[in-house]
Amino acid sequence: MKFLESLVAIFAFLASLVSGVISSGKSVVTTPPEVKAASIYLSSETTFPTIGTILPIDIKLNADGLRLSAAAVRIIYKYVGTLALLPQDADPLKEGIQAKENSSLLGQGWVFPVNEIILDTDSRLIMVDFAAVNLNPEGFASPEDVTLATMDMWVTSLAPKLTFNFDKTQTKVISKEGSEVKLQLNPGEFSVR
Amino acid sequence: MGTFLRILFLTVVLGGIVVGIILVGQRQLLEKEASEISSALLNLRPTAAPTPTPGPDAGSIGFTVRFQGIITPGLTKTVSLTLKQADAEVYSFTNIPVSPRAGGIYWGKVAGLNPGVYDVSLKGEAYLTRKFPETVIKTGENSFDFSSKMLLAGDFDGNNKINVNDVGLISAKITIPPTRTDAGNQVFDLDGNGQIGSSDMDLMLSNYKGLEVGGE
Repeated sequence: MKFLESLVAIFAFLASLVSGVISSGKSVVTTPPEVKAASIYLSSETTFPTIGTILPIDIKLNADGLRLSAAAVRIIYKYVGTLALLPQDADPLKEGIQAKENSSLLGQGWVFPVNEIILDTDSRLIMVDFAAVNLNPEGFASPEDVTLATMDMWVTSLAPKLTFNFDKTQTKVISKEGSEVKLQLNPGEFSVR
Repeated sequence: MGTFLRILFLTVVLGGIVVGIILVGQRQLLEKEASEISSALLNLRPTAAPTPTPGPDAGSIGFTVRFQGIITPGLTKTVSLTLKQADAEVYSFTNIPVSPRAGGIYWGKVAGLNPGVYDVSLKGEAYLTRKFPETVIKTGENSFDFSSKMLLAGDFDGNNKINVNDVGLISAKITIPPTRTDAGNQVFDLDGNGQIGSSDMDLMLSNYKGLEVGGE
């Protein structure tokens, strides 16, 4: 009996201590929430582009179930030797070269305040700046991948490997809550044979 | 012997409870102290005081400034003012109160400036910086119309750039029903109509013409 009372006393002492430690260090017992990641990638419906044809390159967004408010994208294509692709202007009425915005998104509250393709032959690069903003107070959520815009490239010469990279400092996706979401970026690789 | 054990039992249990309470109390005290330190640091904003000692011939400037998009008279606004000579900062004032005039134009005053030629930079909260180079300040009262170049709206995070992060900050405030303006979110109500909505977003987007639009 004495042994039992002693055992209960020790157990009660330890339980009191543990309850104090747990309530004083709440972070110890909380588990981190699952972090979702949106992704932006490039794809083309044309598998085998040939010289003299258009290679359409889509800028795609996957929200991964997140509710989003905006996305900003900078894509850079650096080349050596001959420029194999010439960006085509989707809107001749505007100054400069523009990508073709996905007009079906306009009805879903999207606007595209930044849309500029810069061909810099001195630096031997093509730079695409694009931004999409969703004006819906609820934000944007979609289980499917969405094409934000399409860059039409006129193929001028053979190129075994064309790599379009994202500028990670300028490519961002913003949640409806106003913060940057974790983002997965997959560069686009194409070839003209 | 039985009584002794019971007393020992009670002492041990009470001891455990007391230690637990002390640990909780310590944690709460630490959290309170951290919160107070953060608040104190946030309040350590410099006031409108000139850095160099004003000479006997020091002058003052009264200036007008125009904020983009303001349609409502009577709003409270402040600006920051920096005066440089040869790229070196000579004076820096923050939170200068400016009083409203008509059409989004405000008026403010700063005193104790030694005469000279300065590059003046003006910035409002949530607005990009505007620069007014080679501004000549003389002894006595000087008057400048800085409203010719309005302050462009949309720099909500205060890094003197408008980018997608600023879009996200205002987007988070646009809700159904519309968010009413209060002291904590007033900077997002760019047109000053008392609520944060599409008209404020439109104003911001009118300046978002590149991935990063910088101030002057």
